[in-house]
Amino acid sequence: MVVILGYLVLFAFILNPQWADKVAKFFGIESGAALITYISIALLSLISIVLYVKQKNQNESITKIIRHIGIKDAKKC
Amino acid sequence: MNDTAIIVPMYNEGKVIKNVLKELISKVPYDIIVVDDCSTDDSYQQACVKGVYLIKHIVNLGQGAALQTGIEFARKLGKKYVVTFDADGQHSVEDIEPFLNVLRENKADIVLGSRFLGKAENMPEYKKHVLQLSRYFTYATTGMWFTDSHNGFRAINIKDFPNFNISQNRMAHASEIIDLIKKNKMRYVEMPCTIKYTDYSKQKGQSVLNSINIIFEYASGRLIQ
Repeated sequence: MVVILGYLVLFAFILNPQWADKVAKFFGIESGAALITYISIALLSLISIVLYVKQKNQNESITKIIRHIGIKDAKKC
Repeated sequence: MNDTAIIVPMYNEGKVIKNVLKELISKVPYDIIVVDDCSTDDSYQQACVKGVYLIKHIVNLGQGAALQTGIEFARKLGKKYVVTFDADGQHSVEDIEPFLNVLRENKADIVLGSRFLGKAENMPEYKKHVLQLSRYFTYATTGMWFTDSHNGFRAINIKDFPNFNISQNRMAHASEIIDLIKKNKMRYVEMPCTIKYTDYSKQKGQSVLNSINIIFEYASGRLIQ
């Protein structure tokens, strides 16, 4: 949700650069372009973290499946 | 005694595993559980020594995952204690009984091997320094001091600690085990053990750069938790 909102704000700023300039000035950032860059970096970082966590969770699920198969097929030599 | 299993995680140890298992079988009366972590050589076939339990991961997961598979299987067999034992011949079978005696006498819940209290035959110099650094890393992350925080030789009471479960699949599991000791409030003790560095095991050992991977895996695991 945060990512979607973030991208909506980003697209709004790209389509209306004067809005970006106004908001940038309010936060003491030198230009609207710099603000758009900072927001983009923050969003991409957030997406990376979310994807990393999802991948880790998937790895855990894969591990459980492989372990279950291994134990099920265990043999005594 | 039927309350103990020796867990041997294995990956591409086809050249030595048969001898390692034969020595274990001849010297200890416990069940042996070998977990083959999807070896690409003939380790699985070589490990099929009479009397050994053999489990295979169909995809390579890592030593931590293999240990946890062994622990879960040992619990299924109704074991109270497990000893984790490397498949490459570095560990000494003679160290098993003294470690188990500590658990049986209820003096600790987990016994961790220390090559610095015991013996490290032919240990490369750089390895000594890396392991010393890992002690400081362990202290920084857990507040606990160990002389040897990354030793694969351990004896663990798994029955009284059902939440002792390793989730780090690869080499960061050694650091995670220290966390598990703390979280489960386990009584721990370090005991001397012998680690034999042969040309074979030195060639197969971890690279120093892998320490960076281990730190990253461990840190990200903790952050996500």
